[in-house]
This record gives sequence, structure tokens and C-alpha cells, in this order.
Amino acid sequence: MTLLANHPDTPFAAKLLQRRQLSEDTALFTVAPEAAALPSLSRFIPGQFVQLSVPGAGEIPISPADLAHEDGTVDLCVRRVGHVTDALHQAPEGSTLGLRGPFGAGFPLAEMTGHPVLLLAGGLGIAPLRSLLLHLLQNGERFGEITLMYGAKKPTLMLFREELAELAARGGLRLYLTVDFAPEEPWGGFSCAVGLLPDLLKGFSFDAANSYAAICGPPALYRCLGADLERAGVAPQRILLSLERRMRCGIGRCCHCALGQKLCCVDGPVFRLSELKEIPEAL
Amino acid sequence: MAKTTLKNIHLSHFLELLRLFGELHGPVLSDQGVFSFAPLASASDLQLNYSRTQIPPKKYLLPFREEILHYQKGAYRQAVPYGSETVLFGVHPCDLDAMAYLDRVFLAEAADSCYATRRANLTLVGLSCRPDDFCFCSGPRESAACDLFLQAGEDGFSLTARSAKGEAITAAAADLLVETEKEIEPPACGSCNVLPQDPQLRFSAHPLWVKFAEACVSCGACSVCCPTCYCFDLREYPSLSGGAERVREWDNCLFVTHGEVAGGNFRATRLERLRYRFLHKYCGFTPLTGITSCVGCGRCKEFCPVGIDLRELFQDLPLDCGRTP
Amino acid sequence: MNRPRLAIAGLTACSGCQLTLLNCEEELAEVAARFDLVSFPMAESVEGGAPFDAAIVEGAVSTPGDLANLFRLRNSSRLLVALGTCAIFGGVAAMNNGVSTREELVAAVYGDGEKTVESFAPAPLTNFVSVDFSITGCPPEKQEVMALLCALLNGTLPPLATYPVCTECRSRENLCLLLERKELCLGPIIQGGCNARCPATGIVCEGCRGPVREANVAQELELLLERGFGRKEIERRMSRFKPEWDYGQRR
Repeated sequence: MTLLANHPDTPFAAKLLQRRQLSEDTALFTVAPEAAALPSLSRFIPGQFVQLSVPGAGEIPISPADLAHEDGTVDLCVRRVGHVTDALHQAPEGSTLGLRGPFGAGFPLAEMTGHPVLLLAGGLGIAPLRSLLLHLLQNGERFGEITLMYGAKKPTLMLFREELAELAARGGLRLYLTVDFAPEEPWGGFSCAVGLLPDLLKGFSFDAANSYAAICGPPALYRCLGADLERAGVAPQRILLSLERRMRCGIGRCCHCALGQKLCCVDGPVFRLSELKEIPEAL
Repeated sequence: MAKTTLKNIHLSHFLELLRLFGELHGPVLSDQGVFSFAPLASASDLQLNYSRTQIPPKKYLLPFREEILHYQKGAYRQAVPYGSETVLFGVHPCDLDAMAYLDRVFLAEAADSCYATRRANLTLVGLSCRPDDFCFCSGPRESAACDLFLQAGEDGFSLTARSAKGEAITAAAADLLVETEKEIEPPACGSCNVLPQDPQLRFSAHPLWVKFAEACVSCGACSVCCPTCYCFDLREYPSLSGGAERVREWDNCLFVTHGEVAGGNFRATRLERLRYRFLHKYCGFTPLTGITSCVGCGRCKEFCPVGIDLRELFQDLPLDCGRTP
Repeated sequence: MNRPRLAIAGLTACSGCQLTLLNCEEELAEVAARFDLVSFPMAESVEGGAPFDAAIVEGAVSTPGDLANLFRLRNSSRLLVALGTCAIFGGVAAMNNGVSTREELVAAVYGDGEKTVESFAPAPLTNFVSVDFSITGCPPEKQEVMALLCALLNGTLPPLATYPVCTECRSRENLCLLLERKELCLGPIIQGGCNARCPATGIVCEGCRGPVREANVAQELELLLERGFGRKEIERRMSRFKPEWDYGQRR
């Protein structure tokens, strides 16, 4: 029997080190892949995705919520929503999982260097953008002003809120948070607007002509934010969207993730708004 | 140019000789009356004048359902497909071209191991054909996408070796072959007459789109029977003992589940899915953009229960038979 | 390792679905070892009590006793699984729901003497309780039942195929009975997963697994009418395993 453990369709073994519950249905899973996986995983670029296997349940595409850690561990933010994620949320720490990747095209970091970056996250969309944010902050001197606008349905669904507040307090990050619904009792201890993400953007003045924007969230968000950003003066080729599709194989074969003639797993999941304009069914 | 010819009377000997190169398969008529590629128990089972099989030869490379990974004792391992050398005899040029297309998908960078193993074990012997009413290729032709091609003539076959394997077969069969001066007429014109289409055509206001969307029963026959449809689904099933297997199965862009994600569907209507099929089939996806994968075999037309023929959408466009898929 | 506690029960049905599980002979010993079969009246005389990790329920609801049983199982189980066509659609027992009244049907079976059975029109489980998972079929396929049990052991539910019978039928290289023989085959609108068991032996798909998720019923009806079948005959055939169809549905 030939063992090709490094073939991109075969997961490496990975150990579930830690689960941190972030909200009622979402948790951050820290996963330690076997040593053989590290060479490929260390090439991770924010915005790329990995395929996470839960043995016996199946596989799901996930955009890591963090940079590749030095020790090779990966942070994956997963909402309990289907039969695979259900099994993952029940898996005890120490369980064996599978991991392959990273796949696809991430954010064009080199090209973004020297420019202000505006990150717009809706709901779980914060996960892929968190890895971008951490990269930007780590290399703050190379980028312009960094702004994160993050909207969640309600305060309890706002993921990483303490961590984000802390990053903002350290400087180098302008943080705007908003919730769709006002909390009934006071919460948190940092300011938070009530309203939708596009409302936040409306009153925001920034160097649009020079900026990059990165959006991740539910489909409706892309449609309105993309148009708003363009109207504000951001070039459509600098508006970057991280899209969700049902990537099965991750390597451009199964064809579930097609948008127009492009495949999300190979050409994306990060696309430029300018590319997507020619693909009417993309958003 | 002198050609190597196999006289009709030597065909059965030639078939026996092919068995030296692997298990011999070819077009047969099943008990139910369906043409299919199957093991050739005897040369008399061979249906030399078959029109098309219901299931194309892609089943030899990409079976309907196969285990691709096993999970056992904390590790996923690639399943190694069971397979011995197989000689597939009598494959028509359209089906040969179709396999060449599948090769481009599955043998590209990071070649699919199951596919590659099966492909390496498969020897293809092509056979010229006579198109029927369902065919929409540009006419009889030869395909180079095989190991050996047999051009049928009046009293025999003209052989052209297309690979080392093909040459080995002709060498082994030397006693059965004669060199003829007169070439059995090789057809000049090539390939499918369905050219790559303009992707924007899928948004045309052609009333057929709506008609097709209403009539399509999403039975999946068109893509199950298509020699170049390869969309697949991956599912994982645990065993009682704690292991698991990951299964790959043909999927179908006309099923409602094809464009689904958690909490949504990017191709929720049948119209959108027909458009998707058009786009993939006639315009190609990354990195095969601009390539039609239709080889004109006519299966979708023959096997659709409601008579959908997507080509009608662009039938009035000019045809040109100089381009290959 | 925790052994999941199972209840396996039957309501109004023929017990064929439960029998499918008992017919998984090769796996049965391991199933018994890995699960705690707390309640399985059909297979054992001793019955254990609630709670259950999963209740697997066969049959339609058609008596007050069925209903009480169903509520009891729902209230005491984390997961409730509808097993077989009757539990999901009403099945064979419900085929005359739209044709005759309950009184007529009871009289036809029990005569017009003293009524002995209190019953109502057989209905699917979902009319009364929430159902977490369904395995269709009359009876269900062994491998789908085993897939469910294996997944339950794994703390999840199995991904079952969602395509119509035609997909597997074509892949098996069967002769198309609808196209080639012009027979009353329901393949295009019926949930697959049976590996086209009937058409493979030359018998039309009778529709025992119920509608596929996105059934183009109107088109199937048209196809069959074109082949010379009467509307009544078609409806009669279609309602054999599921009483109510939307014949105008083109989804």
C-alpha cells in the first residue's frame, strides 16, 4: 500500500488541543496538526482556508481565525450548524481530527502594503478577518491606518470582543462595533453602536482613494457594502471579499464552489469586487 | 503511407491476443437490452456496430461510488483502488476525447490517486463509428486519445498505434496484420461541432431557458450519462468499530443540493442550475475556461426523459468543425 | 465508552422496518454490544425505561395509543428518528385517506358490528411531534439503517443521498422503463438510495421511498399522461405510499 500522506486530498492527523466557547453556538478550536503538516500549513496566508475533518462525520472548509502559530497550531472558529460541526462541538479535547490545506487565494498582502485597510466583518465573518487583522497589526509599520468595523446580531454573539477591545486599546487599530439589536441591560464596558454595518460606514471619513477594504459576512452584506465602499471612493479592485461556498475537495475538482467560471476553492475564496462584477450570480 | 490492416476474419484472434494485455472489455448488449461496456466473455458478445453505451467509459476511471479514504487508528489513508490491467476495446472517438478531457481534470497538478491508478491500468483501443441521429459530432473521425485506433473499412480495420502500449499490441499481433498500400479512408474532419460558447449566453432571454427549467425533472440522467461530467460529492460514514470511510460519488449540478451552503443556496432554482450546466459544459471552468467539454456523443439527448437539448439555445449560431475540445 | 440508549418502537405499521434492523445479521452482535437497546418491544420481552439518546420509530400515527406512545418517546429522547415511509408520509396505511372516510374503511375491515378499534386517518409523525432525522423506504435500506446507527455512535447523523431513483438506476445501466418501455415508473420524483432495486429487476419504481426533495411532480404527471396512462391511475399509484401530492408542483 502506498502511503501518500501529503497528497492534498488526504488529511493530516491533528489533535484538538482546546475548545473555547465564544457564544452559544460558536467556539474557537485550537488544533495541533502532526509535524508532517507543518511545511504546508506554515505557508498559510490570511483569507485562505483549510479542510477540517471530523473522523466519521466528514469535512468542512474553514478559514483559520489566526495566523499560523509558531508551534504549528491553528485556531478555527466554527459555528454549530450541520452534522459535521455538530460532531466537532461534541468532540472532547484530545480527540483526533484531520486537517489539510491551506487552499485557495488569500488576501493580496504584498499589494496592500503601505495602504490604509478597512476591515468589515458581519457575524461569523470576523473569523477570516481576524487572521488578516492580526497580520496587519503584527506588521503595522508596513500598513497604513487599520480600521475594523464589526457587526453582530446582539452583544452575546459578538465574538472576540474583549480581545478586540484590548487590541484597540494598545493603539494601531480603530475599532467600531455595532449590534443589530440593543441589549436590554448594560453590558461589556466599551462603546457599541446599535444598527447595521452599512450605517457605521455612512458616517465614517477615511482616505478612500488610497484604501483597501476587506469584507466577510453574510451574502447580503457584500451586496450593500460593496456598493457603499465604491460610492465612498474605494477602487473596486481594492475591495476584497471573502466568499463562502460549499468547497468539498478544495482542489478544484468537485465543482460545488463554482461562481461563474471561477472556482472559489482555487481562484478564491478572496475575490476582488471588480472580478465579481462580471459574475452576476457571485453575490 | 503504408497502413497496417487487420482483416475481418482475424478480428477474433486479435481480441484473444488483446487479453494478454489485460482483462478484455468492450461494448455488449446487456440482458435488459442496454449497450454497456463490460467484460467480453467471448468475441461473439462484442457489439461492433453499437451506437453508444448508456454509461460512458468514465466509469472505468471514476466509478459511480468509491471509497477514496479510510480512517483507522487516528489516521486517514488513501484507498488504493483494486484494479488489474484492463483493455477497453471499441471506444468511439467521442468517448476517447471525453477521457482525454477527464485526464486534464484529474491528472493535472496533484493528480487524483484513485483516478491515476485506474488510468494507468487502462489500455484504450479506439474504434471508428458511424454517427446516428442522436450524435452531434461533426462526423466520422479518428481520435488520438487512445493507445490504438481501429478505423473500420469494408473488409477490415486500419490500425494506428498512438502510444507505446499500442505499438506493443501491433507488434504482438504482427502475424495477424498485413501492410496495405491502400489506406482505408481516414476521415479528415475532427471532433464535436459544439464549440466553446459565450458565457454570457446563459443570461440570454431565450424562452427555451424557462421551458427547460419547467420541464427538467432533475433526474440526473444527462450528467450521469455524460462522458465528461465529473462533479462529485464527498461523504463520510463511520463504522461500528470506530473507523470511517470517505466516499466519493458522482454528483449532479441539476440537484438542489449542489449549490447549497449552511443556511443558503447559490443555485436555488432549476433555471440557475441549467445555466450552471451550460456554463460548465460549453464554456469551462478554471483552468479549462474557454474549452467545451461536450464531445457530441448524443447521450444527454437520447437519455433525457423530457427531451431537453441545451444546444438548441445556441443552435442558430454558425458551426465550425475545425476546433477540438 | 458510553453506550447510547436506544428505544426502537413501532406504531401503526407492519414491523418491516424494525425487521430490517434485525436483518442486519452481520452487524447485530456489535450493535448490541455498542448500544444499550433499552426498549425494543419487537425483539425483547424486557422493556427498560426512559430516557433515551435516540428513539427510532416505525409506522404512522393512527390510534390514540400510537399518539400516547409517540409523545412518550418524544419526551424521553434526545433524538427522534422516523424510520420508514409510514412514519414519514403515512405510507400504505394512509393510501385511502383522501379516498374514503375513516368510518367506511373501518366498516370495510371490521364489518358494521360493534366498533372494536378506535382509530383516525393514519398520519406522519411530523403532524404531532418534531422529528430530528428520517430514513425513508418501505422497508428502509439496511445500509442506511446501519449508517444511522454508526453515526449515532459517533454523536452525529449520517449524510444520506438526496437524489432521485433515476440517478442510481442510470448508473447501474438499467433499461429506462419510463422512456424505453413507456411504463408507469415514478423514478424521477422518488427519493433514491435504494440503488434502484426494482428497476434493476425490470419492475417500475412504485415510489415506496416517497418524494425526492425537489420533485417536479407536474412534469412527471405530464410524462405519464403522454404515455397513455389515465390521471386516476397515476394518482392511485402515486398515493400508494404517500397520500397527498401537489400535482401542480413544478419545483
